[in-house]
Amino acid sequence: MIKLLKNRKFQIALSIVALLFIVLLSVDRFSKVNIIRNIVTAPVVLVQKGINSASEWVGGIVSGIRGYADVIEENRNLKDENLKLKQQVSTLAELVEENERLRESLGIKNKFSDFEIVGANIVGSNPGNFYYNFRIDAGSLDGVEIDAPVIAGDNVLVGRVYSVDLTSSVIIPLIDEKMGVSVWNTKSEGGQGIVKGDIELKEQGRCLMDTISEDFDLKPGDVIETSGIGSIYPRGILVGRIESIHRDDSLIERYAIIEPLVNFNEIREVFILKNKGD
Amino acid sequence: MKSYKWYVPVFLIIIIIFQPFLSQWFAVGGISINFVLYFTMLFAFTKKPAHSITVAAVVGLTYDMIYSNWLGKMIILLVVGTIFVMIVDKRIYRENIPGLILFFFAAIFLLENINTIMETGFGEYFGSILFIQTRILWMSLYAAALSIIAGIAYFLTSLRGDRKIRMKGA
Repeated sequence: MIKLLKNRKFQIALSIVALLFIVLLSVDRFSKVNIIRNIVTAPVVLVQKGINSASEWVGGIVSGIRGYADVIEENRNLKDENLKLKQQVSTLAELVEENERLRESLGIKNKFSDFEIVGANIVGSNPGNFYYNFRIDAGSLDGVEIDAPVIAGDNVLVGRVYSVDLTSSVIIPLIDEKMGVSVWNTKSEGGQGIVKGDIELKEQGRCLMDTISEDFDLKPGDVIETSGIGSIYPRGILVGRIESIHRDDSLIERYAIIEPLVNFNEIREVFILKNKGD
Repeated sequence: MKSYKWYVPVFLIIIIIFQPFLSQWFAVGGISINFVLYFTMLFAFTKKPAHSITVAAVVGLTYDMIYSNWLGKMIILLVVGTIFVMIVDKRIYRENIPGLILFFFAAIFLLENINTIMETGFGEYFGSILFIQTRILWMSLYAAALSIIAGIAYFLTSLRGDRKIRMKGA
């Protein structure tokens, strides 16, 4: 037996079998085997958070330099004063923005009193060709759970939690094909439809609404929100605006193109709703 | 162990960490490639098959642990990509820029199709096949264009003797 264990070919075969076993188990995102990801994700997320901050800092400097050059061109004599004013305005704008964010989060806390709110920052997006998701800096240690709804500060649906590690989580956006949300019209609260991602619409930052019930009175420009049907999303989270309505002749069914209310390119902070009953 | 080049896996691990940022910074018209896949194949041209396969498997597992929905997707892609390199490496010199352009265009096209099927499933893949193929085509062209730089880099790094030895052998 010991001789067999020392055999190099046997060791390789054993490693391959063990790897295959882990791979098969990992297909289920609820599987405990995914805990091994933490060995890598915990330190990597810290590094990526730093890179993300540095990237934003460099971007700020570049735009600052551009602004500075304009000021020199327009008024050389007031250069120093102008810069000081700019810094003050920037600080004030940051304070106003922070104030607004805090007010919004307070509003969310009042609106979803049955839920615990976990705030998180988007650390980066995960690479992919026909899909994309975001990594946030809150994980199971912060109370984040798989399938929890994720919203932005202004009560707008961002997506849901797809997988959770100890210190970080992956969220899939509303426009992803894995999403499916029951919605209704904010005006009438009558009729229902399902909003889901579509591989082609995703490129344009849009998603699809189908399975629209006959009594669903909808027009382009209407805003839709979650209906609360199903176990994941509570009622009343804003989803998007109806861009256009079409009719599928073969299925004699309507479908609509939805423009999400959240801007996925600009979003930096999110809130995860955790059911208090859990 | 003397010939073991530790910097190859270290470099690839750094590329893994930077991959989300690289795909944003170097996107052309919203199109980018998976730099981890690309660099693993580039390094496979310079290393022995056993070493290349081992590096591909380790790097693939690390990538999967961070980004993939299930462990194994990138291991398959990187190992298959390395096998493609092993097949071609015996037939063309790595400084052969037209050869590299053709190879990377075809390899990235095939590998990205496999990647998309593994990610989206057959239903979604065949449902939007024209859209998917157009996008993959642009990605393959991106990879082919990068191969010009790779070919020049191979040529410059092998000027000191490696190429001469191989040319004598031929």
